Amino acid sequence: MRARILRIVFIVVVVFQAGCKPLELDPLPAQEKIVLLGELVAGDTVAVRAGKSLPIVEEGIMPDLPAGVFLTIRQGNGPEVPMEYVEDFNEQLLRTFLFTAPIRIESGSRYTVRATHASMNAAEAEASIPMPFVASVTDTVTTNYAGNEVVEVNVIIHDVGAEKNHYVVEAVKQSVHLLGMFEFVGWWYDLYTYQDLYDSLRLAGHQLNLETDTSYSESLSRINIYTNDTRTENLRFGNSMAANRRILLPDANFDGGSYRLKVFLQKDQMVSTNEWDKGRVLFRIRSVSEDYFRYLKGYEQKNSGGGISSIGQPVRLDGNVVGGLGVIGGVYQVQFEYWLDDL
Amino acid sequence: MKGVKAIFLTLGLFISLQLCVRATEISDKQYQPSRRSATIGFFLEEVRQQTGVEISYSATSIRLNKKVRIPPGPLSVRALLETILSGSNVSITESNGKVLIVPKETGPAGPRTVNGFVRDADNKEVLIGAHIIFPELGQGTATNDYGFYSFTLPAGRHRMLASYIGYRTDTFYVELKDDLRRDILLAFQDPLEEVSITEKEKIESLGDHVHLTMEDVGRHQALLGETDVMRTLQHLPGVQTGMDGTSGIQVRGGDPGQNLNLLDGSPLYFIDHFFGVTSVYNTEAIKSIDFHKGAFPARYGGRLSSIVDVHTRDGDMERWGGQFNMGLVKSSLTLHGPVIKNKASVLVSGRRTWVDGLWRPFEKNVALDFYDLNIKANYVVNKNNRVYVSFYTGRDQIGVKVDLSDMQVRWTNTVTALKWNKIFSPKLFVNTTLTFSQYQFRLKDRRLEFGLDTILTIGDYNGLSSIRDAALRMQAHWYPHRRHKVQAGWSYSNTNAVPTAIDYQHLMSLQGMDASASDIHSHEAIVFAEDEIKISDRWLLRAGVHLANWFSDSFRYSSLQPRLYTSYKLSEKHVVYASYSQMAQFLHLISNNTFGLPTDFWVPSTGSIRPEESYLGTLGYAGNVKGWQYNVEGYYKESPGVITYTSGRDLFDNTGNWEHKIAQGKGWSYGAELSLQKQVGKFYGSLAYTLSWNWRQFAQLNDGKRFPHRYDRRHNLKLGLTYACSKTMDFGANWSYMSGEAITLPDQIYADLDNNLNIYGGVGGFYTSEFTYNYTEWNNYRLPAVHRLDIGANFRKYGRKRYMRTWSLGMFNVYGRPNILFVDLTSDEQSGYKLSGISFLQYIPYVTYKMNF
Repeated sequence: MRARILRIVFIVVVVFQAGCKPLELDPLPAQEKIVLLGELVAGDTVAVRAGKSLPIVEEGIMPDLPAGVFLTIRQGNGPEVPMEYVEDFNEQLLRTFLFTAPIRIESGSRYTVRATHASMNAAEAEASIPMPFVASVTDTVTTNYAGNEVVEVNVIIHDVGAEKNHYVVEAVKQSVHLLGMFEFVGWWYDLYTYQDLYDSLRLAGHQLNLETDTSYSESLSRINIYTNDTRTENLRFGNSMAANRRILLPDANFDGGSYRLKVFLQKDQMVSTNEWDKGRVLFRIRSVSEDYFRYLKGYEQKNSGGGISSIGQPVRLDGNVVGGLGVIGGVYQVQFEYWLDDL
Repeated sequence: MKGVKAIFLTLGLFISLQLCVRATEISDKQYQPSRRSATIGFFLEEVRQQTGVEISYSATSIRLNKKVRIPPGPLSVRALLETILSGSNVSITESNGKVLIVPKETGPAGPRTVNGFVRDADNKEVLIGAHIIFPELGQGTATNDYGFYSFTLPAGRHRMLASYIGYRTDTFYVELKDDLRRDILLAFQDPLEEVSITEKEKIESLGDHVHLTMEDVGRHQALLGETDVMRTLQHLPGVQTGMDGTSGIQVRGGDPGQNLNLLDGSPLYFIDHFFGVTSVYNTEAIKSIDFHKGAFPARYGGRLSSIVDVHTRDGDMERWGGQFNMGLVKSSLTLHGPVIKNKASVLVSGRRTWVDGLWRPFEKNVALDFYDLNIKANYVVNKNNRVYVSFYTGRDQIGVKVDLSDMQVRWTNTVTALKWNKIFSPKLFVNTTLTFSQYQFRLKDRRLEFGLDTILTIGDYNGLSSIRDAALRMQAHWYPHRRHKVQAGWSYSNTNAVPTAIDYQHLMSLQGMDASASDIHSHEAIVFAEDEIKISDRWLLRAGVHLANWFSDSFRYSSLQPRLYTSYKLSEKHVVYASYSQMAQFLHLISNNTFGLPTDFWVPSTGSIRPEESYLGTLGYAGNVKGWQYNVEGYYKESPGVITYTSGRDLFDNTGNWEHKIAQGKGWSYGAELSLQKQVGKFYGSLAYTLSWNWRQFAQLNDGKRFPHRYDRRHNLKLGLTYACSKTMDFGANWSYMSGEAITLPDQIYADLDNNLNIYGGVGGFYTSEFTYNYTEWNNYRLPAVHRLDIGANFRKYGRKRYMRTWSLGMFNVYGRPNILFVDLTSDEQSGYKLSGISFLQYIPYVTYKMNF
């Protein structure tokens, strides 16, 4: 009897085991879509990036760049202006193309960006550019906050009372290089590379023509920003010790008067001893369109660590691209500069 | 909704048919007497033989040898009885398919009450839920949570039966001239001993709740051999596990935090040990479990989905004994015995992981362990008074020291209860309980820096989430009449909740931070009353009300919760029942998983978080045909106010404004459940199947549209088979199948906003490209079904007296089904993206050793 039971158990195990293989997960039904990402900043010219999305499958590959995508921009009910593709070194990394148009963005206007592609649905995003506002920065001091040495910045925003205004405060660092050049027998040499030649020529008594040029890096580095202002969106979903990308102030806080906000910038990210990281800190106070503010609220909550797990709570980002994905934000900004590095 | 309508219609139709079939009274049957003159005894016997009608009577109330004469021709059974018994002081009734001849209750010998306790004959522990039956009356009662019973019946001599699952039924006569105290001792029955067919074919459950003994718990194999109360409950219809292999339960569409887990009447706020491998309920210290998933009695409240009422053992009143248990993960030792023989006893039971001891000598930087301790003492003050003191404490911990970081996470439960049982009169039993329960979750993270000749502490982070309550409860059991069983009482509790608190000290900068959410101090006052009425011998109605008030200085909630349960016995073997329960929950477990990771927090109802509520209706049918015990039940539940996170971080990110991260919406679920059990010789088989739907809807999520709950599993099937070869050996197998859970996955990914604005993560010019996940709908993806087969065997060796050794061997997930525990979507800039399921609970063997002494 015992042997019979063991034999039955063995057969059951073998049968089940034979039919068992690693589980395959079904792909989700999704179509590739045009992705539009960018900001229309009052006073700047138009620069928007376009790409395509990658549907999730069991094992996918990086999305190809959507060759053949065509973009236009329209101000209000005005004519559509074609945007021009501009090749840049980032497109392979970001999997998006840069498109520009020689239009200067005007505050108080509404713009429509439209993208078409032969094999994907057309995508369209509309962004309203906020009206100008006044902001000032006072009492900037170095202090400690959340275990970090920080620069405390006190901001005063003078709200535009007549309209809905959502404000965003952020800081980024832009590398700035002072490039020294010297001339010798009709040729220009850069000082950083040919410092030895420069020194030996000077010792030999040559009078060298020396000039400097300032170059600004296109890419910016995010500086962690903190706040303990309980009226910010950040403290609704995070805490006052958490580092943020942006500080978000919803319209509900503003009634046309002045608003004082205290923020803290992580100082070690503002200062650098590395020559290539030295530069200026751009402190931006921005009024943004409502769609963009909603997208940024989600963006601020999402875990930037990458990856997804079924035990995590998802954060949904609702953009304003109809027929596609992404967001085109309308921005009016007031910008301040801090120079903390010895260039 | 179509599904639930179909279920209820089918059940309703089935029950109606059953009622129609049994509408005719049995005493209306026609009888053709063979002679006109004979003794009463002759006629009673001839009626039984000719019509098949069973007639129960007590020989003390009828003169069987009295000669009587009846009119000519056929007559009904009732007419015959009325004729031959005229002049006798008896009444004729029908009950459970029988005709009963019972003494009349009027006259100087009025009703009398028999009461007492039912105890185990061996160790004198009281037995909860033991049945007391008076066969001639066709009526009876059951012992309460303290083993007490009381029943009022006519004066005279009565046959009395006492029975309890796993014990020999005791039958005896009582002579009721006055109220009588009769304590009953039941002897344990050998599992292989034959049970009479009639006993086996009686219906065991009226569908209102499930009573489990430790024999039931032992039938189910579990991960690493850890037999466990919660795992046993997972084998019941309507109950499912969250993540496969863990011990948490989800009942009828509810969340894990919607189960009221009681230990000797005290609430437990955290029930997992070792990430859900086992629960905090120590099997060695447990006597029995009452599980309610519907038809909630009025005395319970505070949770929406289920009540897990666990009663611990009192300790042997006769002699000292114990149990030692050694498993793959932990070992335990239980000792119990009399402090004063038959007067006071004590039980001490402790468990601790031992596997960590294996690596401790070599690796001191990793701590992963748990322990718990149960202590219970009771003292019989006199025959009408008894006091109990019980204490539980348990702790889980994970600690990791890596380089400059020292992290420690601890979960701690402490529960104390002081109980006083008093029999005020044969009809009135009162229990008064004072309880204290505390749960704490602590997270410590210390960052270190080495100085020239010392270690400097740089940052010291202490996170705390805790809940603490103290309560005084009084519950009266009043048995005014044999058709009424009244329970009424009140309770007051004082709860202090700290959803999250963070204390951060930074030594270098001499800066500290105290980001505590303020303590929330709340009070709860409850009154309840319920009457279990036997409207007739077949029809039982239990109507009650539970009134709860939750209040503080800044908020006040009041909830009136009606409870109704009714059952109708179609016969000895068939019963239909229905119930309606309204529940409210003032303390909420906010969780995004089911196995006790640090993202589980208890938060109270406040001015801005309203209570969760539920409205549950059930309709069921239970039967027993040829030893097949079966039960079919349909349910519909609506739960307004259910709670969830609005977005992606846990509450430790969010101290002062934690309420803003919580969304409240509604949930609803419906389904049908089937259970089936059969004992055939040495085989015992069981089946539990649930067909269910489970939905959620929140204004802030999924565009306000409804979406399936994560554990909306359409099918849930559990099969169990046990073969007891002999007293020394048994084999068991359990197969379970569950539809896959619903999880939220993005349908596609796209480029990151910041990167596309030329902004990168940090200083240093490091280009970290990220991607954005595009979520479209909540819980839009179904994982593959979960199924597995677990097998096990027990080998026992008996020694002298109570000495017994048991070796248990088995394997979890015998055929290695790679059930998915997590889904991961990883991105790799070189090869792309991969959606992968992670599973690791395959082919896990176990061996445990147990010694009873």
